[in-house]
Amino acid sequence: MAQPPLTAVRAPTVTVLVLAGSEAEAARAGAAIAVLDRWGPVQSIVATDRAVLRSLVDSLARGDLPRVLWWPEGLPPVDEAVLSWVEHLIVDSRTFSGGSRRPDRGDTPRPPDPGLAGLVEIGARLPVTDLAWVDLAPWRELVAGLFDGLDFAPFLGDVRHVRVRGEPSPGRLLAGWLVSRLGLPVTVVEVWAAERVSVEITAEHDGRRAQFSVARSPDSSLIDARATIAGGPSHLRRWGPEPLGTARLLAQALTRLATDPVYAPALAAAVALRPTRGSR
Amino acid sequence: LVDLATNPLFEGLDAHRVAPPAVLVIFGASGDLTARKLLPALIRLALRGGLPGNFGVVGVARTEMDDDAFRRLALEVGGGESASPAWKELVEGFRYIAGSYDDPETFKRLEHVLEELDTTRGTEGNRLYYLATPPSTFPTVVAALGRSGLNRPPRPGAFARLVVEKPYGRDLCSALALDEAIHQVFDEDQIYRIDHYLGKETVQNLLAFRFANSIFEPVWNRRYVDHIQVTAAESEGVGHRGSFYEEAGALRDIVQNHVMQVLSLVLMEPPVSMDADGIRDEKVKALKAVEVPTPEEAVTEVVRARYIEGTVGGECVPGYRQEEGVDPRSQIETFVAMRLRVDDWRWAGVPIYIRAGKRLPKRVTEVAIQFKPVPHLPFRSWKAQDLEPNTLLMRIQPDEGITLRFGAKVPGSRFEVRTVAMAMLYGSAFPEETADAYERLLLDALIGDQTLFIRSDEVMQAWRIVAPILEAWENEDVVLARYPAGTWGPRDADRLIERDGRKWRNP
Repeated sequence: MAQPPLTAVRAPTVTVLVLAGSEAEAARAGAAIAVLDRWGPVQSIVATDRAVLRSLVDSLARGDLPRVLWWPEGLPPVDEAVLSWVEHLIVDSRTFSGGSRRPDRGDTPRPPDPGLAGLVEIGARLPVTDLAWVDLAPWRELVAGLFDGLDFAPFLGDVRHVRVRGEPSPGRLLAGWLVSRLGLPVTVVEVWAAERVSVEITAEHDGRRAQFSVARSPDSSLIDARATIAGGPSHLRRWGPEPLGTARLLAQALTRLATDPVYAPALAAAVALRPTRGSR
Repeated sequence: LVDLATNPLFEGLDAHRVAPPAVLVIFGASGDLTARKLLPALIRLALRGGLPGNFGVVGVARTEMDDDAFRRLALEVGGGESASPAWKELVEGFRYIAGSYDDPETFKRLEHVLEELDTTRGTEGNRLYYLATPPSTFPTVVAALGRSGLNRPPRPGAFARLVVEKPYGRDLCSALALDEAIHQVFDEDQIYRIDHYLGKETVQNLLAFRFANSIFEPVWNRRYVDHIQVTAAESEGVGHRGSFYEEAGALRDIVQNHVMQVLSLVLMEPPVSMDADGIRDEKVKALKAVEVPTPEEAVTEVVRARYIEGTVGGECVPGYRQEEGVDPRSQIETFVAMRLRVDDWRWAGVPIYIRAGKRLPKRVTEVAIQFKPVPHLPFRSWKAQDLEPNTLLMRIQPDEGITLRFGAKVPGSRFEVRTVAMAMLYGSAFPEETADAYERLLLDALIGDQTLFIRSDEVMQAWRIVAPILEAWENEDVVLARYPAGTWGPRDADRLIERDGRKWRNP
């Protein structure tokens, strides 16, 4: 008897809406979604006009799927109507530029975005995923791993100084994360503007000082995580996490459409930090 | 205040598991298993970021080699000069001790190296000992670890664990003896008996499939299931493992461990909790419910056979007795088929058909749950002539996934019914690269999760089931049937199932 053919039908699990600020942005978003489809099928509706988007949603969006608004660049205004059509918002705080995004060719006009503080406001109303935060996961793992084990864990209790370097949003988010998780006063934390992210932590325990650092190796794409206890053990963990493009980050974000309980306090702490210093 | 007992920085990062600071001590570090399985698993762990900076590897073996030679060997496995920098960095810290397992000096030097790594790399007294040696050396190595005090961690809060490879004994008696020897030195919660089948995603998915879905469990019993088939087929011959296979055979090599583990997951009751003992308690209960064949049944309900020359994948291949390292008069089976019964409320009366062998037409491991036919088929017989019973297939390898076969109307004006398949293929549904079984299990052992390792009583229950068969084969003049390589076994295996009015599902 002939065997029936095996066919794997991959049904979409989410509807992604994009209200692009320009045709070019719509094209970029469409390309990312096309790649994203390799990791998990989605129903996507992309438009550059709010009314058109509404019409497409009404006629095409599947009623049985959760709706997510992906706002590829900047931050939507707090009163953005599309926010009320969806259950989740995805942004990338690395694209926040204090209003650099300008409408072009008469597309949807938007006011300048208010940066991380605006994200706090929207996050109070709607679950938000920040792709910059998703992209920081390997960095957070490496920092956390430095304090793993009986010798190194006690140093978490007395962190004396933290210096984070990086682009404005990732740098502040990392610093805010350390402040919120470790209950640090903002006075011990410095954030410096830099092209590449790095974290340096000085801590003390039992009269001994220890240095912890996570930074890109100068000669490769690896990240080095180093822990050194003065007069004690030291170790170096070298890891090369695969760089995730927008599509992979989106895929990860869409896999876990829930409020990240660690992100909100980290974001709030990041907003409360002293201003980022100039590059150093 | 920061809770130092649970590193608060790890909160929200549970998607990625990282081993704690530790030293992995590999006994048999110059051997085949280390090069083929353990080092590649370590490489993948390192590349995925699954190993901490304060991690060390110490190889121990009889082969004369120094630290540098061991590092070169490890580097070679990782691709030599093109090995990833993460692996190169890790390998730089590898150490090697050449020595005999019955020489106390070997273990003195091991102790010294371990202390040194604790001091310089911060490995914190955590040790994972991996027995990648021939089974005959297990008691020797374990006893020596005990005599040197290395079976206990050197500081409070640290761990000393032992990973034991299969085969765990040759029969029930030798398994009990090995267990006693190991338990004299290590407690059960320190022992990790490895069966790499349990590291496979699809085997673990049996638990998710059964206990995370409400629609299957109600029909997962004797009221709806007609019978169960477990097939573990390999298209390969014994290759260069001829001398090993001569001591094992299909029953010991595949059925007693891999098949029994898969079967226990299929038969078990829902666990109270998904922790190690919650699951293993139920697996043991399931194995206990499998009826031990009587001496008569061990002959009549079991078929053993060896392959003779034939054709696999269009290639002519030699018979088992012509393989390298095999006795030309060998009486070892390369194929076994059997029918088992389960004596419990859920499965009473549902036969379990097991088939495992080498040089079968294809490499495939699967569990087929065949459901009973509907009580009345309201179609004219010719309109449903192609209709098979509903079958749920759980493919463990390759093309991992789950397929449900059911009847559907053929499009058209006539009402014909034909069997169709609804499939979930792992590779399509989850595009993430899945961890290799050894990688997963090594990480679990380092983390201290025993869920996917076999507890002592599981091993003994599995031996209890096959013990009468082994005895019958030793004491009785049981026929060793023959089958041409590239076929689904001897005709006797077909008769075994056909006399119940059923037939093998050939994948």
